[in-house]
Amino acid sequence: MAKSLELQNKLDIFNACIKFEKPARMPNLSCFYTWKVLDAGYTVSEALLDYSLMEKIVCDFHEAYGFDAYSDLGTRNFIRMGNAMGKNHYAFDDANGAVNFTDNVLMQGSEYKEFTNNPKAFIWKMVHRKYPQATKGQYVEAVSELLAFGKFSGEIASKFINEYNVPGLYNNAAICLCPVEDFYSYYRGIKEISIDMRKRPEELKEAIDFMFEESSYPAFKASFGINTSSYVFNTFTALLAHSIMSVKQFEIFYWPHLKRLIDAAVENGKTLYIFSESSMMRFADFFQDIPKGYVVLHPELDDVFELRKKLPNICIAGGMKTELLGRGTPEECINYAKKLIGEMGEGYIFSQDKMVSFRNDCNRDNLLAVNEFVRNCII
Amino acid sequence: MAENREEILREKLDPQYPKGFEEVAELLDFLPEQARLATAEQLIRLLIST
Repeated sequence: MAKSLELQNKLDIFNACIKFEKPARMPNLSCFYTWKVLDAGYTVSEALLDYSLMEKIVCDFHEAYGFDAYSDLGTRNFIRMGNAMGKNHYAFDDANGAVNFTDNVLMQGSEYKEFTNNPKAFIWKMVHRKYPQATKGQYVEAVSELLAFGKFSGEIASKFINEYNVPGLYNNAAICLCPVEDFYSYYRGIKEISIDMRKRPEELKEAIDFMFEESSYPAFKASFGINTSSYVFNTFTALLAHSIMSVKQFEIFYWPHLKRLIDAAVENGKTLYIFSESSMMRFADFFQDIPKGYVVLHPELDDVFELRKKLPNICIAGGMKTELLGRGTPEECINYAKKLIGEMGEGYIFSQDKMVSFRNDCNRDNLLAVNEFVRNCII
Repeated sequence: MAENREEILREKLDPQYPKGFEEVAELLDFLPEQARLATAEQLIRLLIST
């Protein structure tokens, strides 16, 4: 299907920013997650369990606020499959509009060798550890939920591209997280991996290197063949585990793999969108030699003005303070948006400074005012 | 169609199920053969991450 002019125009303004060229107007990227559910008057668990309701919430959110692209179309926090299996890492606090993710240990520190010898078999062992009582029927339900989720996520992405003329941010098949993230979030947990980096660094390193060569890197390179012409970015990765690392640990356990992803993207003329949870300022020096025009870094907690000084070669997204969106006045918010767009210069994409999740992260009048300003902002 | 598929899947399950990726892939026989193992792996990884 031929792209509409509106869709192409949106892709063009993002592409101009990525390439450090002057866009026809400033693109506005939504980093809104569960806030949109609360804004619509529903609880998070209501929305996550009902794909029809989530579709309505996401579409109403777009029709009200009109961003140029969305980090989330209601497909984060895939919980129905875990529910079918009788256990979920997510904990919902609907009274406070919060979602928490519990720290898990599915693998012991003494089991790295066994993991590296046969990752598939070991991952299967961890499934049994997580769901020791799961019945045959529950596995069937899990398959059904996987398919239902795939149907929903495909249809909502297609609806935004084809009906709303809003590009996708990245194709889900082009996501590649560095292997240490799996050990951090799922296999060993935050507490245990922080000990492993000090007590058994060689075993951890051997396991993540093996996973990178055998799985992550080939999958990342294979994703270059995906048609991403209706997406803002060709590929995506997220930084989470770096949040507990020192600079030295990052250099050992994270950067070698991330650098390979970046180098492969650059060599193949692909763009890479990096969403960095927490702060990444202490690792900025690692990114200084990346050529302009390929990598977009979206930090959560860092001062984007400081980051711009350290990384004049990287397109930066984000910066709009949720503390202002949530507690400031429309005028204060617009003034800050003006400052961001004016001072960040070329190589900047307007967006929020964190995943907008909680009620007080934003209020409706401020968001409407800021988005109207950005929509009409000619640079 | 979904109900039919679920019936078929339930009939295919043996009492020791599941033992590994290959058995999960067998559940996905409505997919093209080359997609089954990859989808089974996706399922297993999602089961760990959700």
